[in-house]
Amino acid sequence: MTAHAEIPAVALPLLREEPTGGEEVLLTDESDLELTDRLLGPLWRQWPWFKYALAITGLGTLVLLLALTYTVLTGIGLWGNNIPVAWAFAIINFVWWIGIGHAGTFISAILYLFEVEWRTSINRFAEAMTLFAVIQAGLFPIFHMGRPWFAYWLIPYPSEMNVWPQFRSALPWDVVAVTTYFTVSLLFWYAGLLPDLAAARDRAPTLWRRRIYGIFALGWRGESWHWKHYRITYLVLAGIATPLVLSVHTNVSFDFAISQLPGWHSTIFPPYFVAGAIYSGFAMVLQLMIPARAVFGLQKIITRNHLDNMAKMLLVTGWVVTYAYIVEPFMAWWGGDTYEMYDMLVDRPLGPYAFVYWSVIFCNCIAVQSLWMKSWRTSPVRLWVVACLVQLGMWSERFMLIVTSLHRDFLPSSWRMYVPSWVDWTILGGTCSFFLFLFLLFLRFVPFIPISEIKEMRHAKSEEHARARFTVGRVEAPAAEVSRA
Amino acid sequence: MADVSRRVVLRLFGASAAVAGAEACSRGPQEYIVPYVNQPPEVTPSVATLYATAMTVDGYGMGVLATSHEGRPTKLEGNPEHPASLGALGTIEQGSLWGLYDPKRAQGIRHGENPATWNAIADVLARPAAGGKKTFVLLEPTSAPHLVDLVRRVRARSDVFVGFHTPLDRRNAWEGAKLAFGRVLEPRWDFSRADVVLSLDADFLGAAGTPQAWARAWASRRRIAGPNGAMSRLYVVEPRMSITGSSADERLAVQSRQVTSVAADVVAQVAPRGAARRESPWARWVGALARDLAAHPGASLVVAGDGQPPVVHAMAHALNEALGNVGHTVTYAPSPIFEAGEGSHGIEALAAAIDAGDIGLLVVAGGNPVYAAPADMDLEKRIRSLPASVYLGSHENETARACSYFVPEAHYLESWGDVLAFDGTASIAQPIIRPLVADARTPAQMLAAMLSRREATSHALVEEHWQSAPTGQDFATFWREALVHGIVPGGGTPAIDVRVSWGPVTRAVTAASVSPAPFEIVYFADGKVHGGRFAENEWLQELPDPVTRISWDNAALANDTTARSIAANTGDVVRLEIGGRSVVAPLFVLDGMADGVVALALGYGHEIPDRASTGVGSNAYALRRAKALWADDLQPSAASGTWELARVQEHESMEGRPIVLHKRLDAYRKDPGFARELNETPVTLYELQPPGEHQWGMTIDLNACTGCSACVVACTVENNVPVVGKTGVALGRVMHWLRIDRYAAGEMRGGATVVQPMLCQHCEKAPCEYVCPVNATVHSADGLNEMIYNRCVGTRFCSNNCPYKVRRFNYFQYNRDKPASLRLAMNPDVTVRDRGVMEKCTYCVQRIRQTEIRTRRDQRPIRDGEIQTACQQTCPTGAIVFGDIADKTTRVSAQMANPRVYQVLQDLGTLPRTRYLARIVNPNPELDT
Amino acid sequence: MEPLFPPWSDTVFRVCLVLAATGVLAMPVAAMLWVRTPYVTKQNDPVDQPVAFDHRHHVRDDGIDCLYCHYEAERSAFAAVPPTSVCMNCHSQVWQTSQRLAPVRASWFDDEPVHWQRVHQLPQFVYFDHSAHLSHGVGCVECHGRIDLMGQVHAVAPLTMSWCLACHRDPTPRLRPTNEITNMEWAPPPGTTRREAGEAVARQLHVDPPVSCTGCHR
Repeated sequence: MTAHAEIPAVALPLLREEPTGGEEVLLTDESDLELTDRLLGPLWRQWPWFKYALAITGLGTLVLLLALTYTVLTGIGLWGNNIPVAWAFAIINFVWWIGIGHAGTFISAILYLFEVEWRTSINRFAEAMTLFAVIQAGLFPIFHMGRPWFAYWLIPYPSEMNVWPQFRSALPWDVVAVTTYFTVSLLFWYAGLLPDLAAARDRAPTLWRRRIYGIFALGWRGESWHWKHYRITYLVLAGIATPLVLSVHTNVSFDFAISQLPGWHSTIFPPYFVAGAIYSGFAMVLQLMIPARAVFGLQKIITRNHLDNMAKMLLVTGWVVTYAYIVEPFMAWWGGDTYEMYDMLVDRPLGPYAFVYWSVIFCNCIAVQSLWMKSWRTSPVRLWVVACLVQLGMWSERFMLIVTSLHRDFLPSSWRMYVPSWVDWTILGGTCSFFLFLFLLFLRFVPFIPISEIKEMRHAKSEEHARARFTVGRVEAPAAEVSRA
Repeated sequence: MADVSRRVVLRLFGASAAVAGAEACSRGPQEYIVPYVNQPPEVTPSVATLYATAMTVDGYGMGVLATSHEGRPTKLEGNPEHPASLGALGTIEQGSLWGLYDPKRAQGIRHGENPATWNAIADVLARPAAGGKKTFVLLEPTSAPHLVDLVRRVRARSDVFVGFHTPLDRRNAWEGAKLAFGRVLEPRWDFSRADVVLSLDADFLGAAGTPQAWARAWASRRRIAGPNGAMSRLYVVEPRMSITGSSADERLAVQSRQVTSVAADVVAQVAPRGAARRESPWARWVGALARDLAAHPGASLVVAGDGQPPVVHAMAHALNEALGNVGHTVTYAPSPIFEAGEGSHGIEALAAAIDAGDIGLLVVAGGNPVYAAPADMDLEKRIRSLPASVYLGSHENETARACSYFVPEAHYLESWGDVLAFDGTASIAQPIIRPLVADARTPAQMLAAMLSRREATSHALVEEHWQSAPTGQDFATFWREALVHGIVPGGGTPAIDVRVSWGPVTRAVTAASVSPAPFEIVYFADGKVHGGRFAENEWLQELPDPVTRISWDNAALANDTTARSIAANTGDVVRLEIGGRSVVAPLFVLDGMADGVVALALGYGHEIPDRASTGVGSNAYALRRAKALWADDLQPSAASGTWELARVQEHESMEGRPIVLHKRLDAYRKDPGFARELNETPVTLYELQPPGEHQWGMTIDLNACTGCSACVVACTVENNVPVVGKTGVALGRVMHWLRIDRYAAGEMRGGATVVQPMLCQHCEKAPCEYVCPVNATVHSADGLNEMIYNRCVGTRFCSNNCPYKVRRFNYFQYNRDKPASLRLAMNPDVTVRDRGVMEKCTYCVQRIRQTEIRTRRDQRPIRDGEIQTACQQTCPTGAIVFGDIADKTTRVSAQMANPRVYQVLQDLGTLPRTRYLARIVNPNPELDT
Repeated sequence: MEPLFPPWSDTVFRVCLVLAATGVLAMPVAAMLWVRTPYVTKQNDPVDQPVAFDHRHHVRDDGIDCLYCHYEAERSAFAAVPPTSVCMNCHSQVWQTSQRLAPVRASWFDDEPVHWQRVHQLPQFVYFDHSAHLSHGVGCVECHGRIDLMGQVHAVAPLTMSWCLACHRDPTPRLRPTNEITNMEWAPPPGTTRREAGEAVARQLHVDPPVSCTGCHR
């Protein structure tokens, strides 16, 4: 069953026949040893396509660096921004990436606390994705500043100027929210990795790899007290991470909601943003997982059940977002505010940026409805296409929220169009490359399926079957006693 | 002086490095202090000094007060004692400061391609032209007494002709006066006594160079205190939309040639005198107008524009006499311009002389005739055919290329001169700074050289004239008084009593035809480049045109109907053709233009490479014919391609929002409180007013504001506002702290537009303040919305949250890469902003703080009006009032109590400190349908 | 199979952890201390001037008042380093041959200004005004220290924003009667504290220093 992933074309395995019985979350009963070897396999084997992929994304990352340097040296006049549209691509991308970064913690922390078992095989994956997405997001708030070298002024510290940040503004809180989120996610991810790093250390073919994995394994020996502390730590971290899932994007939504701009000035933003974030996050997990699953032949570890469940998550969050799209114009009309009504009922659907609005509606509200059909939920290819559409839709949504609201506000005399410059596009593309670059490294050097948890789950399953039989026996006993009486 | 500029440059180095704020974390560079060797007594470093001088516009004088910082003129303001200025200055007068520091100024004397010396030139000028031929001196029309002296003396040299040329000449007006009075006279209008004003294509409110006193007088009759107050009514007949036109209560858009017929119809109605008129399409309009005029004998005023033929001027004079206005709203006096209305004016004399072949040397002093002369004159070919020609000019321009010798012209702020105002009041213009171009000369010095006085300084030439002039007191006193006050005591030339000879007028009235042309081009000088004189001036080029709001271009202006018949739309390139000559220009659709009229501003479309003017707009002179200087038949056609216009405002509709409140006078009288609800203070739990002793506030009376944009230039110069160029403006990054918004208001008739100066409103509850993450914009104790550049990190959140969008962002490094000469123009009291920081109107906080320091030093209170913002100071109509709103006795407090006062976007609860007085229009009820 | 790591590697690892942790905390603290060091604020840092001008001699021995040379201080933002002409007022008579004064004479006769090194260097976006302070009873010594005891002038105050604000928020302890402005050794009358003396001055002159940003930044 191990995938012959020497096949360079990534497309072929995608089309391969799915294993039957997709309802299970685990379709294998290999021994612990077999599982370990299988899941660590990708780390030792050579992947011919890997160096090309790495080279391409690496090049993209380089271009990103150049674009950012050019911007810092010359000024953000290189972008398409103007007055009134003083925020554009940088903030769109920031919100988009930070949103994507929400699925990881949601899956690993919240689903963990709810003991959802299908989380197991995908959580590591999602967490890594989260980290890399947050790194991309983190670039923008700094580089969109006119004077990024003074970015540290947003941090509260006793300055010799006796000046502090403005705590009524949402931006200093962004700094706190994002950094906290990144730190906790990183710890959470790393803590989860420990047993597997140890496994990698023990199985690594060469001494040097053993050494390196050994250092990161922090001397894990799998003793019972290790496991005891490990469990507690993991639970605590999950507890800490859970509120962050809500807090981060809530705060990001304040970057807009605290203003009085029609289209931004809205109390629905926090839940709306969080839902949208998880929406795009799950889409990104699917976008990355479906190809990886095929390339590394993991259909038995990441089963149709996983696809099915995540598709359902898409559907749910998709509907929350859709609800927000309906409420916004309704409230504008209900509130009767001239400026909001113009923005919601005229400018968005009919204005010069109408094509953005309608692509948002199509991708985020209409396309996702296909997931009512199980055939679509469980078909990797179709699901992947829907996920991509959702991703596009969520980016466009941020464009709609930011640019369309700004370009026509209160005084018609200052109304103006915004057109992104080539630097804008380069930076957007660059972050995508950087993101994939980091992700490739992750796939290559880190056990991306939580081995120990998989093994644990397998044991749990077999025990379940046993216990089931045993329970039936127990139930009969008292009845017999009654009859004797 | 030398060490002054060194000192200054050092300060400015610092100033521009300032906002980088690197000092915060490193030692920073070692600075020097460079004191004077011997400090001039009048100079106190850091304390600016004001000097009175005068600028010459088309030969007329405008009084100027120049602010000097350690010897650098940094700003020009109007001289309150000068009759043409009364303290106000227009766009071009203020912008003229750029010309002094222009890095592209001509630097040296040359002969052909080679550098030459003044002596070489002087030899050429002193000796008679080769081959016994004659010398022709071409000057711009002038009223300068010392220059007139020299002209007379040069003419004594039998071999010298002296002629005058400007593309914006007033020969029509002068001929009109001859027609009506048999001699050249100029009317002096007093709008402050006129209840009804009729303008026959006269842009007396907007045209650059017109006395600011006129706008002020007109506005004094528009600013009505309350519902019972009276206001004047303005009728405008014009082919294109002018500033005056957009301020009109009743407006009739007809082709330029038809203005004659309209005027004739008015005469026929008001004072028939046997003149016969056929029925005309505007009969009803004219009828109402005529009745209105007749109803205000002695209190009405008819004015005619220089673009109109002599007969129109004659009819205007006739009407004023018939209405008994002479002596009340209009008086007549001889023109201050030398030889006004005589043959020496106009380019034709020169052309004829050259063709006759008896010119051996041409001396062009000032102007740019090769560029600006009518195309059918083909002056360039004629000049090149001459054996020798000398040109005195500010730049290496078209004329410089055609002439064999070139001498750089001295800027009026670096040389001595004198000039007469429109009413004959003389001013002596003193220099504010040593010549920045060592070899620069004045026209007077050229003439002196022709009299073999090559060494004479401009100072000597001016002084010797006035020494010989009868001044009635000892010269030293006279000289000092004249320089201190900026005007020569004794006032203007007295008005004289004249009668109109009706014969020619009545004949003209009968003759005037009404037939329109299929297409007519109308030339005009706008308030930016003024016919080309300021084409190199980046301040003025970037200034949005008050009517079209286009910066860095002129455009072929036409209304929708005309545009459709040319089959082109805004931004399309059209070909304009007249008698075989043609230019291409971008079309711009503008409401209020007469059908068939295409208007094109003069002075654009220069082709000299690497200049501010290069490729900006299209050259109307290339079409102009000597016989039709102001309007002509046109064959327009759609050409291929489009032309990106850098527009500062792209949307004209108010979308039914309460932005510019306006009402008809009668409606206002019925409902005087119509603005009140837009001036209510929203209910709030917060403390409304800051604790400070003074509370600064501003009111802008939209009834007085004409949209002339003088305030925009004032703000730019005062606050070191950078120029971003055409691309910058097109991208939406114009930096002006103060802009003049313009909205369509069709229901208003008349100009059918409303204007609104929009600047930081200094909201009590400012939306920008609470979103700034680093406290870079905060509220001061005296109620200012402060912007601290050196704290700004440039997140631009404040701009997003500003409902008025008055904040500006330094998207690039606009300042540090400036040529050193332009740094000298910087105001040292205002930080020069660096790349990446937000900026905006500060209510000229530097003036507030300096006055506070001064008054507290003297232990006295600040007087009302002692602090004037730059925009307020220069406003010709006094629409802007600034002061302490906590003190109920101040003018601004009085304005705030006016029933017309309101807040823009009051419903947002931002509580702006800047409040507006609603615009009241006064249409003629008789014309309602 | 020999062990991956020697026994001591745990210790090394723990040490590294501790160092990393402390580093994260120490770095910003160090930076904050750095900007307050006299090195950065250029305090007590004697500057070599083109002319070896000795304030001790001029102020103490000759008893020349500050405002004789810095005569703009009362009416201008700049206290004015004196024009060469002011030096020559005396030095055309006394020490007119001294070598130490050669640069001054050179400046005078060649009409070339002396390039003095700036000692009190404020960022250019700070609009400090001497006249405002003198007229409200802030003595020279408050900011410049005992110039009369300096052979070579150096800054005593850090001139940081917090230092300015400290006085702007509570000026009274640093105020004195305006006729004592240039007195380097002024002390409040016996029995009164500086604060009491200052309060009297503040009442008399309505001292109310700006604490709004545009008081200094425009």
